[in-house]
Order: sequence, then structure tokens, then C-alpha cells
Amino acid sequence: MKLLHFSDLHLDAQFGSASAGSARQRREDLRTTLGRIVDLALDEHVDAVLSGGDLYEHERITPDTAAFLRSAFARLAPIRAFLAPGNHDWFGPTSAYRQIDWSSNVHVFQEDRLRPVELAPAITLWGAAHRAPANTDDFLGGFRVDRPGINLALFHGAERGGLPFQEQGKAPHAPFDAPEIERAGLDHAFVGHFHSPRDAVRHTYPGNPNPLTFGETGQRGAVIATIGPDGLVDRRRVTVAVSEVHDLTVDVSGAADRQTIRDAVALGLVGLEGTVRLTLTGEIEPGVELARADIEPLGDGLQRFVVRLDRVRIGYDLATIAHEPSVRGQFVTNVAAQGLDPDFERRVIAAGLRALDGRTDLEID
Amino acid sequence: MRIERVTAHAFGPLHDETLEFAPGMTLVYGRNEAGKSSWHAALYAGLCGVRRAKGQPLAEDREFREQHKPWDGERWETEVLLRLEDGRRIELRQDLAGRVACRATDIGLGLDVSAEVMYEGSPDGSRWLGLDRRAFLATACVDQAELLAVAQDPNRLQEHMQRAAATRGTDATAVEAIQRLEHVRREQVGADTANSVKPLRRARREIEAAERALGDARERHDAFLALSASAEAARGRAEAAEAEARRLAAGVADSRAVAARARADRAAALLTRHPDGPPAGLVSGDHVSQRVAAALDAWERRPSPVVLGGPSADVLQQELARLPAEPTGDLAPAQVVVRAKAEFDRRQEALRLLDPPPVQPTVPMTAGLDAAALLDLAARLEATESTESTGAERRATGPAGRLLPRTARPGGVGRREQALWVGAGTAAVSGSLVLAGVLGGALAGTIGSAGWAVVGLLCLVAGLGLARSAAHDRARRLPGTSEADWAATGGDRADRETDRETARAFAAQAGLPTTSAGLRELAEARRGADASEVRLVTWIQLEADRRAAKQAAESTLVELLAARDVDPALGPETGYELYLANCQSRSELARQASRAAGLGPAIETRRRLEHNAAEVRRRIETTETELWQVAHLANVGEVPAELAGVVAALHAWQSERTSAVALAETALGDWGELETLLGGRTLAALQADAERLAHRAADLGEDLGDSAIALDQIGATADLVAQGTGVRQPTFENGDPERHLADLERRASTARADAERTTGQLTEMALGLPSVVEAEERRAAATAELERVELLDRVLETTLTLLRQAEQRVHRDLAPILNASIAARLPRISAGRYLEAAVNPADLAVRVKAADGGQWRDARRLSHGTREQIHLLLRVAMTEQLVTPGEIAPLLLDEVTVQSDQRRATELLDLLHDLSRERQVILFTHDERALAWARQAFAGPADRLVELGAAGGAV
Repeated sequence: MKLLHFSDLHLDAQFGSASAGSARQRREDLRTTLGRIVDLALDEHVDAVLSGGDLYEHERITPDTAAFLRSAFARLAPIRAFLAPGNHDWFGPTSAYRQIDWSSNVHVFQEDRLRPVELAPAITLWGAAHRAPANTDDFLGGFRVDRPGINLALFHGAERGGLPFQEQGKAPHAPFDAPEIERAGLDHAFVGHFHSPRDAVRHTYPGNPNPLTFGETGQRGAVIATIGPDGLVDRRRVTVAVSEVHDLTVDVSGAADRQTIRDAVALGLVGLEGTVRLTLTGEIEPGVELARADIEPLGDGLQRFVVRLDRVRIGYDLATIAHEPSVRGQFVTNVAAQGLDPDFERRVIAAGLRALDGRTDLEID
Repeated sequence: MRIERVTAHAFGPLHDETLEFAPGMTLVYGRNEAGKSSWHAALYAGLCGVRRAKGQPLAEDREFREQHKPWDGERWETEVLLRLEDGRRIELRQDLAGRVACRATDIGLGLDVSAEVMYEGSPDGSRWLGLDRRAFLATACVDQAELLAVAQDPNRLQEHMQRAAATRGTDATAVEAIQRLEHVRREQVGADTANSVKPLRRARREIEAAERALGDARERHDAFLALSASAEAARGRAEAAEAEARRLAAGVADSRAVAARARADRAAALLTRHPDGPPAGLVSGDHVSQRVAAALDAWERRPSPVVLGGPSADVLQQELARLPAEPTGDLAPAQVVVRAKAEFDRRQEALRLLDPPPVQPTVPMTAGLDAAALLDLAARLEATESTESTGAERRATGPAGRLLPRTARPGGVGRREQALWVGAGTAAVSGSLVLAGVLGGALAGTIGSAGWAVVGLLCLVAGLGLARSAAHDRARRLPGTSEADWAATGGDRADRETDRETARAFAAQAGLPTTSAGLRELAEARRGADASEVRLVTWIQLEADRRAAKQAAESTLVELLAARDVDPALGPETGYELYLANCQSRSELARQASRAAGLGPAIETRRRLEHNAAEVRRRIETTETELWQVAHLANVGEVPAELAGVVAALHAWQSERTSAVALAETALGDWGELETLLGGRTLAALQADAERLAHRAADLGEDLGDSAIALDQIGATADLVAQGTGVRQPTFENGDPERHLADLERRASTARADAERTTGQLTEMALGLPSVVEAEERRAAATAELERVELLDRVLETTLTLLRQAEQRVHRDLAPILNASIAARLPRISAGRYLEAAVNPADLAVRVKAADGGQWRDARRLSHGTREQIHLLLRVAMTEQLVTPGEIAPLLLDEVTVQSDQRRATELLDLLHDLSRERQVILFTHDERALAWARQAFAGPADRLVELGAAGGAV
């Protein structure tokens, strides 16, 4: 028995800080990713495709996405697809899961308790759905399989032991403990919710298959799971991401002019495509006139180019300036005495000193 | 700090040339192109160096390089020797080209002290002054243009002060910086007013618009989802209705197909069974069959023979005639008689159980005194016998003594007493005699002595009563018995003795013992006789009572028996026995007589039973006769001799007959059913119909699977009932299936139309559905922009506030210093026209006070020369303020007298010379007036005049 497991695609997700065109392209990339997943399932001749929830975002899904979902999974036929709604695509009266006229090879789990489906003789898949965007209880709590053979599970939930390894603010929807899987008589649980991939002994988080934000690490994507006759699972991860998301950090310490910085950034961007988040670090000469607009054109060929300048320190010798018997020195002294938030203080000092230097680029990133 | 010399190893046109400076004022004179500017620049560069950093040099650096880089060769080096106020001599070597071999060396110690003054990548000697190369240039260096500007523009005086106060003269003034901040805030933030088009208001408008767009997008998205659900539900309803209609249509068609097939098959079967046409009939209800059936039925329902037991009605009639008449009298002993007899028996038994009579007592002679009187008398005698009487004895004898006379009269018995005693004795004796006789008779068993016994007993009682009355009467008459009498005599011994004698005399006279012991014995005997007497009298009374009661009970019983025809002479016992026997006899007679009442109806009942039995026998005989007759009539063959055989034969005959009739009727029914099925058509036509309906049912039922026929689920239950013809026809309890089907199809059509309408609305809505996520992203972008602008606003506001505070603080501190610096030299430089100066802390504006009139004037309105000198004074004061305490900055001037007239130039040079007493002053000029002035003014080692040659070297 060979299965393809993926989760947390988040079709129609929001990309808040991106430009409209870039965000739209990222959403297209998510669709393309699902197409790659389907292609992979066909190429691998899997027996079934398992979606562990958050396939789309209920509050944002468009009719076009709903139609796309139908056609994407219909393309799998006769390979069966089992969809377990998560907290972002919870199953309800108005959910797309209910409205889409799925092809016959698609099975959507609709109950908020594990229900069985026979994958093959003596192999049962237990699936459940979130029926609300929050407050879904542990699917494994009090659950026990009622049949022999290999019992697998598919649902969207947070394994409590994995929470510390996930992105900040990850809410523990349908939380469960890993030992519950074995206690329930399940051989393996294919789960979604955590965006960071995780291969545990009895459960698998494939991670979001296409990048959703910056800083994502680990091999995320689709998992080709082969179920052995003893119920053991052999996993192979396959990257299906379409979007390239890079975190580029360029140290511009000592740069005395804008061009030097631009040259360093251009060098760092060589070979990069897709979305790049550039973080400039280091201390530059006070006289350098550096603005976001000076750097952003360097990423014109990219899908999206995010420039962060807030980690660049302006090389003011504040200790020395503060000792100057001048308005400038007094200003620096006054600022230091305010006890401002460090970032705010940095902006105030730079604005004041630049103004005293006769500059007009007073907004500091 | 004082600069001792500068060596231009390679700088502009200068090569390995040196200028040495005096500690006071040095005037470097040279004609045009003599290299003054190069020396000035070489001195500045040698002292402060040039900045060294990554990337492209600044424009000012590029310009400096273009102006002063050696015209040939790669080297660009200077060297400056200077002395600090702490005494150290420093050699500063600047590699201006490579900016590598730059070094500051303490030549006294030979130490590299570059680190003390490293600034922007190279040693900067002005750092020892607390300045940097830009600040040094702005404060310690004064050029022709600056003074010219002050001279030409009065406002520059104040501006220079403000600039120096703000940035040590390097950049903008605080006012300019504040204006710049305000400008940026105005342009890049702007007011948050309705008509503003600046970023803050734009951001707010955008976020409001984004919020509205998002709200609208979400609302429409929710509506779309809701409509999607409605459409899905409508589709579901339509599909369900259509499916229901299809299922019903298929079910009806299938039922009709089945019925048609059954009809055709049935018709075919019937035709096969009767290929020759309609069968002949057979009448099932003919006369013989009916009579046989009736006979057998009567036989089956015949009554059972009645067998009567017991006596016949006639025998019972005879028995009635023999019964006795009803007797009169008690049939059972009357209760009153039985109770009288029981009373009599109880009374008689009580009498029988009475104890024998007690022995008659012997009464001692006591002279009429009873036992108490005797004891009293004995006590009186005892009282004198003791020598001394105690209180207790008196108490013992007191009361008894009261019974004794004080004056005894022995034999003094009255006549009444005597009569009583005589009567008593007579009666007692008589009674005793009579009683003795009676008792003797009784003991002898003489009946009839009871009356005499009673008489005797009465006499004895009377005698004893009289005796007691006599004794009591005597006792009542004894004297001296009162307490008063005793008190009158008690307590006196003599009186006691007298009383004893009286008592003894009394006893003797009465014939009684005269001792107390004898009296006491006599009293005891008398007491015993009295008790026996009482017992005897009691017995006599009891015996008399019981005997009278027995007699009364006997009389009552005898009277009751007599009332019941029993002879009283028979006495109670015998009479009662006879009465009982009579009752028994009468009871038996009454029992016999009582049978007559029930025997009459029994006779009637018996007679009816006997009649019924006879009737049953008659009916059985009739039935049997009929069986025989119908057996012959039906011709059952040889009629059996036994009746049971006849019945069996008739049953067999009847069974055969019924089968034959049934076959005939079935055949007729088949034919009738066939005609109905065909309905005037042919079998082939029926079969063709069945085939057509089967195809239609198959078509309709295709894809429906097991749900094809579920007519009971649609409210019109199809019940395939067996019709009279035997063909199973579909019928619907709730009406015509076609009507049901039409209703369902109409509902399905309506539901489908509703679904299509909703789907159409959904499609239309989807076309114009705004993207929620794009609206969210627009709002996020608007929010980010607003946050950016608001943050910039806060930053600028805070910066402005703190900068204004810094400006006020510095100006407040600086103003008095500047004021003092000007005031000290103002009378001299103004030739006494102005005596005081005042610097406004708010804007560092300078005012001076005129000597004549004391009016304050704005320094900007002073003459050019005065303004120049005031400017220099302020510059020096500002420099003093800005440099590190303990250090003194030199003053480097370039062509500051060129634009002045002779007087102004002289005044300015005089001022500089005056200042050189406190600090080193180095003046580069090509002004010959200055040269002339120096030749006259310089007189000591503190000053030095350097005249440059054509090649720039000192001459």
C-alpha cells in the first residue's frame, strides 16, 4: 500500500506584506503546487492521496478555487483521495467541501470523530473533520479501533510534543499526545497542522508543501508513505514547492556610500529567484544616504523582493557626540535620557542628527 | 595646541617644503600663486588628515583631492609638528593618498599615539581639541568668504553662531534642522484633517476604504457561501424529488409490467387448460345432494340419548302422599327452659357443695362482760400490783380503765339487762336444741328437716344477739369511764389503790376471777366463744340462702315445663328429660313433613325431563329413518345393515359429488377469467403488451438499482393484491399512481427550477465576487502604511521636541559665554562707541549698548568692520566653548583683510594680534597692508612673518 500524504497547502492564503501582484502570484503557486502533488501521485502510482487539512482557507476561498479543487482531485481518478478538513477549512454547511461536486474518487471526512474507510482488505483508514474553526477536541481521546488489521488515521491536529518546534503563535487545535496513537490501536497517524515537517515513529507531519512565509526550514512537501504488512510506514519526502523563498542577509558594515551597499546586495542576489527577503546588517557611515528605494530596484527580476533596513546601524559615535557642547550633543544626551524603545530611539537619533547634518532623508527603516 | 611647523612632502605644488609658526601670531604673506592656499590646505590636512572609508569618497573629499593632490607623483603627504597644552610634542604624518602610512607620534616618548585621535579612518589632530576635522574647519578656520559674508549680510553673524552652537559649525543650525524636521513632517506625515492630501490622511482614508472593501468582500463572500449552501440544498431537493419521481415511475412501470406478464401468462395457462372452448357445467345444489347433506347434517347434529336416573315422577308422588303433617310444639329445647334447667342444676350443686356446719360454742360465764371489759378489769387489778406505775402503763390502762365503773355495783344488773340475758339464754338454748335436732336429722339424711333447721338457727341467732346486747348494754352503763374522771383521779397512788379495790370487789361480786390472770384467761375464752358463735351463725345463714335459691330455681323450671305440656308432678329432673324427648320427636316429624314442599317441584321437573328424553329418542329415530331413506334415494349402492355404514356410505357419496361439482365450477371460472383477461383481445396482444411494459420498466429502472421500487416510501403504497381473476394487479391505497407520479414530477420540476435559479444567482454572484484575500491584503498594506506614517510622525515629533529642548539648553548656556567674550573687547574694537554686549539665548542674536545714550542696538546694524570683529570674537569664544577644556585651539585665517578698507584691515589685524596672546593665530594673506602691518607690529619671538616665494617656499 503506497500513499501520498500532504497537508496545509492553504489555497487562497493571504500574503499580507506582499504587493497585490506578488500575492496573487504566490496564490497561483499554491495551485501549481497542488498540481505537482497530483502529478506526483500519478507518477508514483499511489493507492490513495491523503490530505491532512487546511487545504484551503474557508474565509477566503473563491469560486474559482473551488472549481480548481474539483478538477485537481478529479484528475487523480481512479486513485482515491481522502480529505480531512482542518481548522482553516473546517467542514460546515457553507464550506466548499460541501459545495463542491467532487468526483467519485474523492471522499471527504465529515464527522468530528474518527470514521473508518477501507483502503484495502485489512487496511482501514480512520478520518475525521474539524467542524468549527476552533475548539475542536482531541480526536484520539477515548477512541479505540474496533477491527483487526492495519489501522491508519488521517486528521488535522496538534501533537503537543511538537508545539515547541513550530512557528510562534501556532494554536493547538485538536491537540493530542503521541502515545495516544498507539493506545488507540492505530499503526500510524497522517496528520496536518504543523507547518514544520516532522517524522515521528507513529505519526507524520508533511509540512506545508509550498512556502507560506519567510524563514521556513526543513524539507517540506509531499510524503510518499509505504505501508508494510506489519503496519510500519516507510516515508520518503518529495519537494513539490513552486515558490522559491529566500532569506538573504548582507553585511554592509563600514560602507561609506550607497553604491557600495548596492553592489553588495546585487552580488548577494545573484542566482536567486522567486521571493527574496533581504536583511541588511552592520554599521554604516553616518553620511551614507540609504533608503529602501535605493535597494528595491535591485530585485526587479524577482517575484517579490522584501528589503529590511531596520537592522542596519548608522555609525554615529553617540558617546562622543553626546559630549559635544553643542545642540547636537545636547540632543543626543536628551534622547538617551528619555529611555525610549531602542528601535524608536534609533529612529529619533538618526532623524535629529540627519536634520542637523542638513539631510532630508529623515525616515529611518 | 600650538602648531610649530608643517612640512608639505608632496602637496599640490609643494614638495618637501616647511613652514614654521610662531607660538603667537604668524602672518604668511605671499602674492597670488605663491601657494598660500596650498599651505593653508596642507596645514589643515596635515593636522586633521582626510577621512578613509569603504566605497566612493564624498564629494567634498573628491574636491579636496582634485585641488591639492600633487600634480605629479603618487605621494601626497604632509607632516605637522605641534605642541599640546599638556606639554607633549606630536608629529603628525599624513599619507593622504594611500591613507595608510598615517601616524601620530609623541616625539618625546617616541610612542605612536594615533589611536588617541583616529577619526574616520585616519589620525585627526583636532580630536585633541575635542573637535573633528569638519568641526575644526568650521570653527578654527576663518576664510575671506566667511568674513565677507558677515560683512555683506548682517544675518550671517547670528547664523554662524547658531550653526556653531548646533553642530560646531559643520552643518545646519538647530533652527534649520527644526525647520527641516517640520518640513518633512508636513510633507511626509501631514495634518490629519479632512481636506489634507498628505500621507497621514491618505493612509487613514486608504485604511477606511480598505476596511470598507474588506467588509464588503467578506459580506459578499459570506453571502456567496450561504447562497452556495442554498444552491446545494436546492440541487439536493431537486435531485431527491427527481429520484423519487423516477423511482415511482419505475416502480409503477415495473408493477404494471409484472401484472401484464402475469395476465398474459395466466391467459396462456387458461387457454392451455381449456383448449376446446368453454367447459360443461354441473349443478352442485340438486335435491338429492341437498337431502343427503341435510340428512348427514341432521345426523351430525343429532342429540345424544337422554338417560334419567333416580325415582320416577310417580314414585315421588307416592312418597309425597306418605309424608306426616307438620307437628306443633317446640322442635328444639327452648332456650328459656334450657337456661332454667341450668340454673336449677347450679343452685342444687351449690347447696350440695356447702361445708358441714361448725361446732356449737360453749359460752363461759362472764357476768355479762365481754372480752374487752374483762381485759379492762384485769388491767385495773394489775395496776395496783406493781409498786410504781409508769406513764406507759397508765396509757395502757387508761383507756381500758374508762370501761370500768368508779363506783362498782356488784350484781347491780338492771331489769332490762336481766330480761335480755334471760331471753338470750332461752333463745340460745332453744335454737341449739332445734339445730342439734336438725343437724342430727340432716346427718341422718332425713328430707324435710330443713324447715326446722331454719327455725332452730333463727332461735340460736336470736339468743346470741340478745346476749351480746345485754353485754354491751352492761358495758355502756359502767361508771367513771370518762377522761375527765380519770384525770380527776389519775396520777394519785391512793386513788389507784382505791380503783383496784373497786375492781376486785366488782369481780368478786360478779363471780368472776379476782386476779388479773384469771380475768385475762376468762376474756380469752369469751373471745373464742364469740368467734365460734359468729361462724355458726354465718353458716346457718348461708345454708338457708342456698336452699331458698334452689327452691326458687326448681319452681321456675317446673313452671316452664308445665307450660310445655309436661306434668309438674314429674318434678324438675324427670320433667325436663321428658321435654327433651318430646322435642326430638317433634323435630323428626317436622323434618319429614318439610320434604313435601320440595317434592312437588321435583315431581314437575322429573316429569319434564322424562318428556324431553322421549322427544330426543323420537328425533334420533327420525334421523336414522331419514338416513336410511336418503341412502336408498341417493343410490349409494348396497345399503349397509348398520347405521354407521349408511352414514359412511353417504359421506363417501357426498365427497365424490362435491369434487365433481368443484371441477366443473373451476373450469367455468377459468373460462370466465380467461374471457376477462383477454377482454376481447387475443393472447398475442396481451403478450405484446407485457413485453412492451417490461421494456419500459427496464428502461425506467436502469441505474436505480435496489431503490427502483420503493413505492411505500412515496406515500402511495402499491399493494399488489390478488384479484378475483387471480392476476396480481397494482393498486394504490392512496389513489391513482399516475396522479402520484404527476405530482412528484411537478415537484421535481419545481425543485429543479429553484435549483437552477439559485445556481444562476450563484454564478452571477461569483462573477462579481470581490477577493476577500486581496481585500485583506489591501487592508494589511493600508495598515502597514498608516503604522509607518504614524511611526514617522511620532519619531519626528519626538525629535523636534528633544531638538528644541537641546537648542534652548545650549543657547542658554552659550549666551553668557559669548556675551563675556564680546564685552571684554567691545569698547576697544568699537573705539569706545559701544560699552556692553548682550547675546539672546533664544536665537543667539547679539545686541550692543551704545556709549552715548545707552541704547541697545542690534549688532547686525553695526558697521562692516565692527561686525567682522564681533564675528571673530564670537568665533573665538565659540571655539573656546567647543574645544576640550584645557586645550586652546589655534586660529587659522585665510585672506580675511582683503575686502576691508585700511582702517578695518588694521583694526582686524590688531584684534588678531591681541588674540594671539591667548592662542596661536596663523594668517595667510596676499594683502600688502597686512604685510606692512606685520612688519610694524611684530616685535618679539611670539610673532613671526613668513613671506612666501614664487615657488611657495618661505623666504
